[in-house]
Amino acid sequence: MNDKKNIDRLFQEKLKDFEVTPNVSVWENIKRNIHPNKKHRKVIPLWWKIAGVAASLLLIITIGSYLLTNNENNLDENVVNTDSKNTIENNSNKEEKRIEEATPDTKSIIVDTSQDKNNSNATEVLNNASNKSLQKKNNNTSTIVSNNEFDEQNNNFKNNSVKRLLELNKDKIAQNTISSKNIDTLSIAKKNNSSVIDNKEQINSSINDFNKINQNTEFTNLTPKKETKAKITETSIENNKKLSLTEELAVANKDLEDIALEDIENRWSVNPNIAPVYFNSLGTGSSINSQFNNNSKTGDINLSYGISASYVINTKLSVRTGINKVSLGYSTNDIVVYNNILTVPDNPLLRNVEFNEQSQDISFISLNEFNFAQVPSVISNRINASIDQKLGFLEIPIEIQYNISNKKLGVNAIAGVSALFLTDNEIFSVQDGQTSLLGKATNVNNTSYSANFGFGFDFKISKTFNFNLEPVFKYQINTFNDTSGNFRPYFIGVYSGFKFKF
Amino acid sequence: MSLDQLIQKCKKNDTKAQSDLYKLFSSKLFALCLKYSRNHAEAEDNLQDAFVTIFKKISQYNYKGSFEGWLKRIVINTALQRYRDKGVFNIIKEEHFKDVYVEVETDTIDIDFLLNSIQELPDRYRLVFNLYVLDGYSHKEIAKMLNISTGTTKSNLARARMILKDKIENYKANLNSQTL
Repeated sequence: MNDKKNIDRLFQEKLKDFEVTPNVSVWENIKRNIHPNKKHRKVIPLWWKIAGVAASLLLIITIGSYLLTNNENNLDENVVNTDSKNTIENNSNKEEKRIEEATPDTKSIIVDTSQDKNNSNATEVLNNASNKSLQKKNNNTSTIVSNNEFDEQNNNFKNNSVKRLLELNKDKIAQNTISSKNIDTLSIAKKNNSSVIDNKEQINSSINDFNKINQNTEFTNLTPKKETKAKITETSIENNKKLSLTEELAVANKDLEDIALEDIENRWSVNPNIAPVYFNSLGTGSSINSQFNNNSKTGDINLSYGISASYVINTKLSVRTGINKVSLGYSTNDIVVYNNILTVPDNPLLRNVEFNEQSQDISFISLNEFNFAQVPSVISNRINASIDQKLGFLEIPIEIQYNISNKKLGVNAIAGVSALFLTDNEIFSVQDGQTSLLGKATNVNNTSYSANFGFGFDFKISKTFNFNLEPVFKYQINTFNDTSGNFRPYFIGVYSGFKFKF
Repeated sequence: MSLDQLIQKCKKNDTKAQSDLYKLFSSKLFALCLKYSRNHAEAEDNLQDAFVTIFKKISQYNYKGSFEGWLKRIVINTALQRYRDKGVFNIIKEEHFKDVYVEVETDTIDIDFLLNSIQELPDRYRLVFNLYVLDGYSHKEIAKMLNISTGTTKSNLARARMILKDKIENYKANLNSQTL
């Protein structure tokens, strides 16, 4: 039936409910286009790779432990086989009659052997002899015997079997030993087969031996050779697997690094911080006067606070600088303080101290300087005072942070230098809980430096907000220009603060 | 989940919702792409570009008018944009044809043949035919969309119809000769 229709209506009707499912790849492309930043592709491989690392480690451990325990098992098998040897001997007594049938053959061959001085040939022939006897017992034994041949490289066995087989000439019963010995060697063969997995070269050499043996004898059972080849293939496959695993590991590690590199989003950060600082000296000595060199010193715990800014260079390194107000102080103990009533002109004043006017007539003597018998009663009640030195600096550090760990808890090493600008400089005498200002130290440089070493711990609270804790050791350089003895000051601060990244 | 909820989620850039929306409309819109494109590969490209635009602009959809209509407009615009970019609209030498009423015998016409016939039309004939016949745009609208005169769109449409009629008649003749 031919319906004449408007061409428009034809197309409209035919194509009205026309639907075609597009290719899956279209959606994949769209998804990639609308979510370019989604790390679907990245995150999954990362987990795959971590899982891969774990799996390959597991595999290596499993293979390793399997090979180790396998060797032990083989030793056990041998022990068991030695035991079973006796039972086999007993059993084989029953088969004496059957073995007797084989004896004439054996004897005749052994005569040949005695003529032939070649040990291995002799063994081959003797093994053929034993082979015959075994074949009567078991049709499958041919393979076992071939394994036995395969073991010819084992000299101990060679000699043993030769000896034993020579004894066979004299005594028929010795046949039993041969059969049992063959069974015994089966276990040795087994052991060797397993050790084959461990050592490819050994396999190769044994193949050569085996081939030689094959050439020397008429024995043409190829089964063991095939087996060995199969083992070699297995070993090489395993080696290949290990190689590819190592490669995968390398790739995985590289990817991890790559991902870490891409993750730096906020390179800048500011870090207001506050720290208790403990000031002391490494050597004995005094910054105040040589007579106090051996006096005990007590470091004060003061405060440092400030702000630093850091810039991330790469995932491992960042540099930072900032400004900190630091107060430092220490006490020189065991000092006798007295008013210099007599105003002796050569009274040992403190060399490095510029006294203020009220303190001009105060004298200090280290308790170490004189014995107690000499202590005048006037001053004895003023024993055990101390001199406190207080210093304040503005510190400007330049430090490098090296990330050791970049996990939730980041660990980093810090090294750098600080410039210290003197802001406060006071010396006090402290006695009976009373503090009086003496003056200021004359030997403190206005500008000094410190070498800084420390560790930092970052607790990542959010992507842009960290809490950090940094114990830092700062060794001061050029703080004092004239110290007595071996006075090497340092301070330790445990800086804590919050880091805002942007 | 209603379509409105799905759209709402797509506006929030929800991947799952976007996937669902795609599943819901991709077959229909791909058919549309096929009609407006020269071939299957070009249709896939158009569908892909159209959906990227859809998800980028879905926040601008204000629930006025049918959502499917909105989607179709984006797909058609994407298809047209391809030819605008390539400048094919001006390549064809203008020949004026009268708008004619073409009738064909319609039984046993395969849908794939119809689709192929459309795809084989010169670009502008195909677009005009699609826009006017299959998607209901007026000559005025089409003239605006393609930046040509209404006279040209009418002429293009007439020419498209003629070509399609010839194709269908040839197809029928072939079919008859095969059955004979």
